[in-house]
Amino acid sequence: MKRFVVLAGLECKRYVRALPKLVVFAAVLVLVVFGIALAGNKLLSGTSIDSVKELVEDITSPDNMITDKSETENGKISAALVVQDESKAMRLAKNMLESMDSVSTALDIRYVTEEEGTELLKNGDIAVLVIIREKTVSGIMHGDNIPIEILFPENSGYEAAIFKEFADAAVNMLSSAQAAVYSVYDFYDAYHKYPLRGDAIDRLNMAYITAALNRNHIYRETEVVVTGELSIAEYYLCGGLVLFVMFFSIMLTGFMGRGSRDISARLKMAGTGYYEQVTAALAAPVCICLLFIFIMGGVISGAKMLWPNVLKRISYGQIWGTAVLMIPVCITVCAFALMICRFTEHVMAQVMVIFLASLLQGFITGCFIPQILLPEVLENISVFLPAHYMIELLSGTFSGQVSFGNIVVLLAFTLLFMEITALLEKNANETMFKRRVSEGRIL
Amino acid sequence: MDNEYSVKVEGVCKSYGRKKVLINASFIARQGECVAIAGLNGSGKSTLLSILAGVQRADNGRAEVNGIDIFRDTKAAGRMIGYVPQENPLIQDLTVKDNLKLWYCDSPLDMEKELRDGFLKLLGIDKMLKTPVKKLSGGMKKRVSIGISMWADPKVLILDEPSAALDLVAKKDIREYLKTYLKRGRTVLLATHDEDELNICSKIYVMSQGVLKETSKELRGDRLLEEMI
Repeated sequence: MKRFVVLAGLECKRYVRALPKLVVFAAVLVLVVFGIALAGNKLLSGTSIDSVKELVEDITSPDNMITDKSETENGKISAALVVQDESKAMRLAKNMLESMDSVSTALDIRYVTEEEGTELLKNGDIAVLVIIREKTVSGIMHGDNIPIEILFPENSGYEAAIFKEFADAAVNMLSSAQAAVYSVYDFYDAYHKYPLRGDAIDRLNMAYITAALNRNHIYRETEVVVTGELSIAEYYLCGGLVLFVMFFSIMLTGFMGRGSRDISARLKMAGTGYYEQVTAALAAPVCICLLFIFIMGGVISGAKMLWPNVLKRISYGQIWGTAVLMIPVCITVCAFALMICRFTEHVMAQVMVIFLASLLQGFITGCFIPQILLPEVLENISVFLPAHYMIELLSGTFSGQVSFGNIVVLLAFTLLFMEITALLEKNANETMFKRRVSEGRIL
Repeated sequence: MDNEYSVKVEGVCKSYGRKKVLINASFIARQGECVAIAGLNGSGKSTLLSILAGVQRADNGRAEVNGIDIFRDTKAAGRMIGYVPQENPLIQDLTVKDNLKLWYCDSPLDMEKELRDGFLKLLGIDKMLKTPVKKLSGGMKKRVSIGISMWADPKVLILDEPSAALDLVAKKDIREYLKTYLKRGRTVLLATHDEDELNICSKIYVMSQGVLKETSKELRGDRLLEEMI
């Protein structure tokens, strides 16, 4: 135990000697991560921000959900509808839509031809173009299911997510309506009441449309945002912190590499097993990462004191709560990096593997683009990645729902990485000697 | 338990894949003896010593130090055997003192006392405590390696070509230290080509293509070379 403590202390000493270099790297990394937040905000808002000051105010505004001012002068999204279906049900749906407050407060709808709509979309005068082809409604009833086309301009941001919610809701409503229509058809057919079918279906359509469109209470109470319960600033802060630690671990690979194999074997013989050696090797980079995290916490707290308007949605409790929750995050990231550094002795390979793993994890878990905008398959993959639980854990500070289950999962990942590392250390001696023999260096 | 011998090695074998590196290596070293293992490069000397030091595992065979099976009781072996490999096992980024602390923190010896007037002072390590290891010369690193290997006050000291790449002064100092160590009734196992080191040894074994056999301790020069070949 004594030697373990001394070993951990000496490992820390090695890192501390290189602190100035690490500080410079950390500063550069903060700028890179800030750049990612910038790009993310541009993606969500769909506009370009001309100055950093505008961006900071933009992403730190407490009410910041929609930032595309040119399209929301009156707070509405401009939409154009091309309705080629002249059926009675479609006319009914149009009338209901136009009379609904919940729709008219969110959307500024105009009816256009397909050519006009395409032109408006190309010029950026509308945020979305919806095309309802001929016989769409009858197609629903007969099972042809002619698709309703929803087109967005390039660089569309939050509109895509909002309309996805609209479209999903409409599809769910239409599918249940379609099922009901088929049921009615079958029911009247079974009793040979064919003349009564048409009237029954009309009444059914009226009932569905009325029930489906009358959703004022939902639109009044629910906000839909791509960043979930978090604001853009909070969302990118959580993702940014995870990205920072993952990329920072690349800098630490210079220290995590395998030292003298003879030392490792002799430590084992002296009673400091491979697992203890790995734990000692892990302690130092974790301490360094946490040092930087707490320094950042101090800087953010200081900025908040000096400029109270900055980050006013984020409290001191959230800043330091996040810093504390970074402990399991740092441990897992460093354990992964240590495992890679002991897996291969080639520095370039270590750097590339950790870099690619961090980049992929960051992308799949939504650090660059909110996960809701990514294909669903990536969301399914993300549950197998540690970064997913890291972001969920940190998000809990802001949403008020810190889940300690995430800490347990991160601990499991850490133990897995350490176990693999210890095994690699154990087998490394034989491999080292084989290599030395093959190189003719010793025999 | 037979107290006449300090180290007893029987039938140790080691292969790397199809390459047989050690074939039934056996020898005995008594207390106060310095046993040399001579041989050409690639003959198996370092492999044998690293196995006895516990850094590698033998495929089969037996080895005892003071009656204790060192292949089974590796913890006891770690405290009885001091090992100085060819490549100095030092943490390059740290100072000499930090490297010493890593081992002497759990030592029966008092590091400060040894630095003041013990064998660490004899090795000249007291003069380089604050120097980072990466700035030391080869001779200094070897002295520090020897100093570190003594952390458990071992009964047996195993050195793998200790004077390789050292200047004459450093070689002489190390020989003098080994003589002092032997006078304490300890045992030294030495892999070497150096004739001056062979001169302090009471027994010479020659390793040739994995086979170990004892030879006359008077053999030198071409005659010794013939034995090796």
